[in-house]
Amino acid sequence: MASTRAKRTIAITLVAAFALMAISPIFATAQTIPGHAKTGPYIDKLRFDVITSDDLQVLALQNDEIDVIDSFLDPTFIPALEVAENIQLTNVLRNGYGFVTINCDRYPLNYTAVRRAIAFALDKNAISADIFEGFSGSQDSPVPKQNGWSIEGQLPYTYYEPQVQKGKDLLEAAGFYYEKGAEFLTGPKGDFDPILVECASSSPIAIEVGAFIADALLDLGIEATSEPTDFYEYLGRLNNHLDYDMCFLAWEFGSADVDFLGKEWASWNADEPFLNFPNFKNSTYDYYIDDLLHSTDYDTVYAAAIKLQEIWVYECPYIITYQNIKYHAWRDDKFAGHVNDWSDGVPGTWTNKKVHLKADQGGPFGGTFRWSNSLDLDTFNLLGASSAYTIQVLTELYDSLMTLDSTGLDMLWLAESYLAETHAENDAIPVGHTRFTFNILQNATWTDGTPLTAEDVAFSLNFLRDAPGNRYRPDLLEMSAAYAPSTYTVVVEFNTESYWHLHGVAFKPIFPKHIMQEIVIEDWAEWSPNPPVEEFVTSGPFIITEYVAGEFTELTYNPNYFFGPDKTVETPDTDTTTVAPPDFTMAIVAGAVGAAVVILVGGYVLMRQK
Amino acid sequence: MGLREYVIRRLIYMFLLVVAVVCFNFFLFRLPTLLFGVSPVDLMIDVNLRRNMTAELLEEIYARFGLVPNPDIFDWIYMFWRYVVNMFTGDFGYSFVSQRPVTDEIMARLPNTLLLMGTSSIVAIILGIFTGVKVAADPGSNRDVGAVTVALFIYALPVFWVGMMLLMTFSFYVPNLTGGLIQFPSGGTITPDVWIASKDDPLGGLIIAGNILHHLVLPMVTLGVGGYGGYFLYMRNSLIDVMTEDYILTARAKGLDENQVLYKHGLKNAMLPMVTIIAMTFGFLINGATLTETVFGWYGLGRYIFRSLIILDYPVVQAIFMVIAITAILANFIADLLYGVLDPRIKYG
Repeated sequence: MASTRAKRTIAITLVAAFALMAISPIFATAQTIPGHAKTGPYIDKLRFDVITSDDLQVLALQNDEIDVIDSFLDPTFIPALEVAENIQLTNVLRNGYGFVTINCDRYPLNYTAVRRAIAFALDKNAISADIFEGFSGSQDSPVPKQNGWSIEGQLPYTYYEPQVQKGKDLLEAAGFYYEKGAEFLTGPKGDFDPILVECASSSPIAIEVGAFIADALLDLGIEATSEPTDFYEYLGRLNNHLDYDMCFLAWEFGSADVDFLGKEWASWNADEPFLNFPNFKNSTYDYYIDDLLHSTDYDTVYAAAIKLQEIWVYECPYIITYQNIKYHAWRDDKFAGHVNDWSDGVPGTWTNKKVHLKADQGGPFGGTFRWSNSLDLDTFNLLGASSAYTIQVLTELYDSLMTLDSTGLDMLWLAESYLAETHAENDAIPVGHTRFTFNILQNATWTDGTPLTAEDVAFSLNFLRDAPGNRYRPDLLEMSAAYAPSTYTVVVEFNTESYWHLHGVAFKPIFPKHIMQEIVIEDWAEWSPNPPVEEFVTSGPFIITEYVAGEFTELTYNPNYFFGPDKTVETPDTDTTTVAPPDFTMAIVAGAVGAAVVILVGGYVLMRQK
Repeated sequence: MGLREYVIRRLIYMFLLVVAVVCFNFFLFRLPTLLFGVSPVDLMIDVNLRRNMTAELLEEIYARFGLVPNPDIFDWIYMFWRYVVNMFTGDFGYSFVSQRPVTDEIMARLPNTLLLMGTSSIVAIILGIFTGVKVAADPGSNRDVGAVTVALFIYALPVFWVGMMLLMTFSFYVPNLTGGLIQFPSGGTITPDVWIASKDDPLGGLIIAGNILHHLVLPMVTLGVGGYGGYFLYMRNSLIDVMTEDYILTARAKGLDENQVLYKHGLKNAMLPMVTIIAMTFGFLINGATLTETVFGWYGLGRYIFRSLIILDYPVVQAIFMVIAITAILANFIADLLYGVLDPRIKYG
């Protein structure tokens, strides 16, 4: 039997251990890199080496010529990279998907029952397993499943598994039947031509998906063929609402906004070029669009988004065929702090801000973080950039009022706070208008030393709205005014009400007024900065310091960046792939739980001893 | 007809050919638009921009690129006329993608293409002629049969595959085996670290030149190997034909040694068809080597043509094809003149 002394020792040890557990979360959060969630960058230089082919990118990563591959990996490289030294693989669901659009104007595809029957008959799980070898998943909703607005998995049914009999039952109920001796079905309004499923001849994946869909149609008893076609040829037909039955496409979203549910498939857009490929018209669907696009109340907007998805999934103007998983490869021997962004994965702007040298490399500050860039920069004019590979470099040079954090949530950036008002909140605002008042940071400067003020923000928004044909313009067409009543306050007013106006304004890049006002607004596309030979005034965390056409672009840390770290603070090295801000709530909860355990266990032991 | 009349006639033919090329060039790159209604604008509008598209914005985008949506016959005539005027005044316009003058874009890539194509062609020509002559001296021998077999094998190899094999070997396996002692770059034209370091070095220019040559080796060998087989076979066959001529028999009868017969009488005459081939080779230097430049990530015109074709960047592809066509026509013209000068049997007429 243990002595009293031994029991006391055990009790004290237990109390100490639990006490340590209770306060440990505070120490855990204290071991992150200095600053707050917005602090960065920690590296000295960021370099984008132009490496155009997948093979060369993988070779360069293995040879330690780059630290991260910018695009997602071809799955065939995964086995080799999994066993490679100092190389890590991470994955993220693609913020997009592959799908077939169905011409809802065309008999018999104008029957909801036919479209649903095809969706039920299609084996989406087999597409993921056979074509993508498991690097993909099934999806029904038009909103990707990692997006908080998505209803994926919330419906009482899915189209994942092949349910051919269910499809046949739907067709029968809709009046489809076999004529005597016929091989294929006849519709309630008579015979119809075989369904043509068109897929891009340039994409082996598209061709295989097309074959799966044609097989599903044949399983249902509908005559169909799959035909590889020139992608741009049928894209032109879709854009202009010309003839087709079913066509394969793939989408990648740039944000988490779901206003597209209202813009894309509204009945009134069924004949608009570039919109509503399936010519989808549904009055119940239209009914909820106004709530989605023109309400400013989150609950109303959310309810509308849910309802629209429910109708959409039921009606099947598109059939989503897969949502693939993006694998990214990066080296972990020199840098730590990589961030697996919800949409971009590791090669994204959050990694550039948070990545830092390891202690054994002389970290945390300094070093050159090297990306591959699959294409060279087309231009340094962000307004005119259309290539994702150009945009991923140029976005490091500018800031916006808000941004998305690495989990996809809104984060204030240049704006310190904002106020959104309509007539309901403020009588001074005309009925039907929305007004945003942003208070911006007071320590932001342009790289030439000029302070970044509300004047720059107001000028940029007006410029983006008025410059003809620029890609940022559509979101701002309903903006009636943007002005700066004081140095650090900007007011933006829209002549309509919408929950989405905030993102329409807040995610736009802010340009220096003192530079851009020299440009004739109609000639914005001809503005062609030539850094570093000519001074290029920007505000972002990096400055362009070297550019060799076709070879690389070198960016250097902006020493005056408003969220730049205090480099006098010694930073402990961390090997985490995500960076979390200090979480005191977690510490309090853990402390309370720990204290309870200490009291109960310690009390019990002491009581036993007594 | 004398040389002067011959040159004038050839110049007139050349001019007519250029006019035909200009016309053909216009329609060639607009075929997707003419046949299927595909517009470059369609290719530049991503999903997020597309769903926010308005008719007004679309018109503005077309106007920005100098295009007409759904052009009718009068629009086509107008576009053709504008294009012809621009071509003959040397105004190649602006790239749809970069918004920079096409001439600047071409000039930025031209030196790299000329370096790669020029060095690889010279290596292939010299090696091809040298080995062709050596084996033609003894046709049917084991050496000849072996060399022809090897040359045919090399000639048949896909150039991109050769490039990939070289890359895998000399940029990955050999460096791994030798601990990085022997290593060729895995792509590009320069090493960024070397470029940046050499900026502060008094011998920076030399360092960069050495680095470019280091990068040049593998693509040059790839293209050289690809071209070698052809030159070798042309040279060998041409020389074997010549060696059966009566004047070779006469030379031998005069008691000249075999080397003199081969190089002084045989090679000189066998080189005539080679002149045309070599002139044409240099005429096509400018078009680059799309596959090799793509495999090695070489910043040249070949890769640029490919990318511009994919995204229907008309101003770029029509300018490059125009330049290629004109240099090919010029090279042909020079080859014709050279042929006349070198071979006294040729009469202008």
